[in-house]
Amino acid sequence: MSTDAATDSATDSGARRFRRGLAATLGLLALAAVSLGAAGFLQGPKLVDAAVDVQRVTRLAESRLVLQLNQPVARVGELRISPHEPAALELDGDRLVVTFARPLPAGTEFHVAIDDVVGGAQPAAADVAYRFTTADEPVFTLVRRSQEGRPDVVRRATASEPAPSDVLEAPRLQSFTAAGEVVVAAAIEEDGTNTLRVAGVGETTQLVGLPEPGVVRRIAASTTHPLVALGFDGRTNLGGGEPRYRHALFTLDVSGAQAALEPVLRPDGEPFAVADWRFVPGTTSLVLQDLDGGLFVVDALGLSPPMALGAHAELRGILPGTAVLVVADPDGGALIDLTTGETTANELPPAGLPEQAYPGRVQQLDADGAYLMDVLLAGDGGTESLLALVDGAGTEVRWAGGGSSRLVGSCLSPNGRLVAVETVAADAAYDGYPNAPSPVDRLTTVVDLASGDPVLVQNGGFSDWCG
Amino acid sequence: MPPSPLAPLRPAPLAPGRRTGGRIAPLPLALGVAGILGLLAVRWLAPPELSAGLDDGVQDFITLSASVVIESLPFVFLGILLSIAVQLWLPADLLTRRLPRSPLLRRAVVSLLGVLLPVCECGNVPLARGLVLRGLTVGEAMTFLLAAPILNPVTIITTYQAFGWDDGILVSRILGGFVIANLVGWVFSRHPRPMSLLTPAFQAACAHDHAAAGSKPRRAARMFADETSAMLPALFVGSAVAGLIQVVVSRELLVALGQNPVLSVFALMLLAFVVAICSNVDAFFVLSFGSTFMPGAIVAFLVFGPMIDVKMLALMRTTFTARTLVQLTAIVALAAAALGLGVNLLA
Repeated sequence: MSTDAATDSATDSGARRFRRGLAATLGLLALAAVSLGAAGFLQGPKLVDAAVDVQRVTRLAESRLVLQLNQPVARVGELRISPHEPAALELDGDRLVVTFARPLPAGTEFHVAIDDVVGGAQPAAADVAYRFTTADEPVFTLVRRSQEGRPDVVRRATASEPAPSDVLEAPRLQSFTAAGEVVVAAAIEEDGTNTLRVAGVGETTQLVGLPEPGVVRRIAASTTHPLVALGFDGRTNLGGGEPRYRHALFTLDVSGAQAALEPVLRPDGEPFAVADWRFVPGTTSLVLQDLDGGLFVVDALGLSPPMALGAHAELRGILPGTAVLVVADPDGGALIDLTTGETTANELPPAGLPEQAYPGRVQQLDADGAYLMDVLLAGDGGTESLLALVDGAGTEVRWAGGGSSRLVGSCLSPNGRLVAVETVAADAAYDGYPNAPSPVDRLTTVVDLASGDPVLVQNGGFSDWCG
Repeated sequence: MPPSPLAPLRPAPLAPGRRTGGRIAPLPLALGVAGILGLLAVRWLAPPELSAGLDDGVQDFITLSASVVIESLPFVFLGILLSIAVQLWLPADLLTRRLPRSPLLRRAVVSLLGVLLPVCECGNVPLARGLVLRGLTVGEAMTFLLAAPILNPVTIITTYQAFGWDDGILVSRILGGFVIANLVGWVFSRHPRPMSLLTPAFQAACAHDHAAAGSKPRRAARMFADETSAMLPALFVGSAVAGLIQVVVSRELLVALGQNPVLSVFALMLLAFVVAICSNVDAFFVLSFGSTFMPGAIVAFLVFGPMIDVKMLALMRTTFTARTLVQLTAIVALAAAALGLGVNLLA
């Protein structure tokens, strides 16, 4: 009897201890859940992911930074971007989308902050911030060295890594272009005709034959896709036979292991005879002008039929990072937005130049009419080359060469933020290359258009930006 | 000397209970077979347009309930077979001999047994019953029951396939499952009369000496009949409830709740409770909510669902008393919620 009582007592005591333990466990768990829930409720929206293509954002206007939050957003405060860039902010559920109006400068760290972000589920406001660094802009130059008994070479450098590295070599190189890290060059053979060398596709440099013996007239690459195009003229063969291709345009898809040339064809299946052409950034399309002045949009991959844009006297180019085409006619210039088909008059502000200044090549920067102009300044002591930036606010010199050198070319980077200035000594001799002779010892200086400061100096020239 | 209330508690022999095993009565078996054949005949002979006349809600209910049954049935049978194997071929003292003596370490090791016995949670119920019959304490069986669906290779691999290392979902699921299972095991190991946590029927089964009657194949067949007759009705009832709730509670409502960092956790726990999906595939199911719900809510779904859902409650009711299940559910729910809210706070 006393043993049973002791057992019951122990059991009751154990039961009480179990109930207390259970209650304490439940209480602690409830307290933890309430505390964590309250902390989460008062925390406000949080950034959980961000997406930006740091390469593409330097190549295209209207590129986006997508900030993914942990909940839908009800309202936001001010958008701040440092260094400052014009941009729009859009709310899309639980995403904040920042659209940059212009292509961003390369190799630059950006700090994007959005104040007072309030979620749909919580009253607390939070600041959302994100940092990213845009990709470096590679600068490729061709150094012709055959007169020194060495093969010509295409070199690559960036502002952050200015020591150049050799990318492609051949005994004689006429010109080249770069699609991403793939370099395609037109080599000059013994008989004066061209062949193609492709580096960056596969382990070794590929030799790509042209459809018939002939000459590459111009070679350029898309700034956003692994596509290269080249103008080509077949050469009359020794027997007097006519070549198949005259003023033809070929495309080269360098996305795969093997690159192969494809002609750009008219709707009737014959090759286009092309006077001028440009890649449209952000697309696989090209704009070409035929020998009659007709403009067409064609797909470099042949996925859609050519589309006629009408006839214009001159194809002047495409605004950097956009799909806006610049054309000129005797009665004035126009901008054609290829995404909407809208055409607007293109008014360029007059340049404020001194009397003995001779304007040269014009490269338009934006739809507001800002442009970069090559200028030759004549003085008592000789001539001087300079580059002038002209916009609605006035005319400013961005680069001046001095009297000991002369300007042989200037080309805008794909984002229109930099310019490659190619100079030679004032008394430089020519190298005598067939089809594309050049003064020897070209020097390329990359200049920041915003400040006028040089960011890179590199031997060689023929920048792919000139494509 | 009176037994210590905290001494490791084994299924003690009780007063002779009702016999749960034995020969299957021929009449119910015949009725069951006839019923199934009748239903098949109706389905075969019925014109196709008949099903078109059913209300959408009824069709959804049938589809959803049947899908839970079809998904769970193989694992239930696998669990029953493993349970029988454990009871008949596992030496009686092997588990108690091999497991560490420290209760804490024993539960920690028991919670990892799912690595060796990768059965879906619905298969773990019969297996846990078999383990209790083979010497595990009730608290250890609960630890196994709750941990095994999460801490097994199939679940871990499918969770990794679905989420990778994103937002710490996989790590939170593994650690959360381990901690909660051991917490529950610890709480119930302190019970002075752990056998009172079990249903009378299962207590009787525990008291019944299976080793005493017949050859192993005969005993295996009898145990199979016992277990299936205990499990299948519970599975069908649980699946029907799961299907019914899914029809009644709109998915849109759950998604709307998912926009809130606090309510999203509870919304997905509710969803896990309702859909009663197997832990082996639940990661792929909830992946479709990944863009809508916050990571903490996903973790709460992946931890709470394998431990507690309508189907599991029905199955566990064959073994544990209602009071025990309420206590167990409260601990698991609060712990899973705290885990989910914590992940949301940090992620």
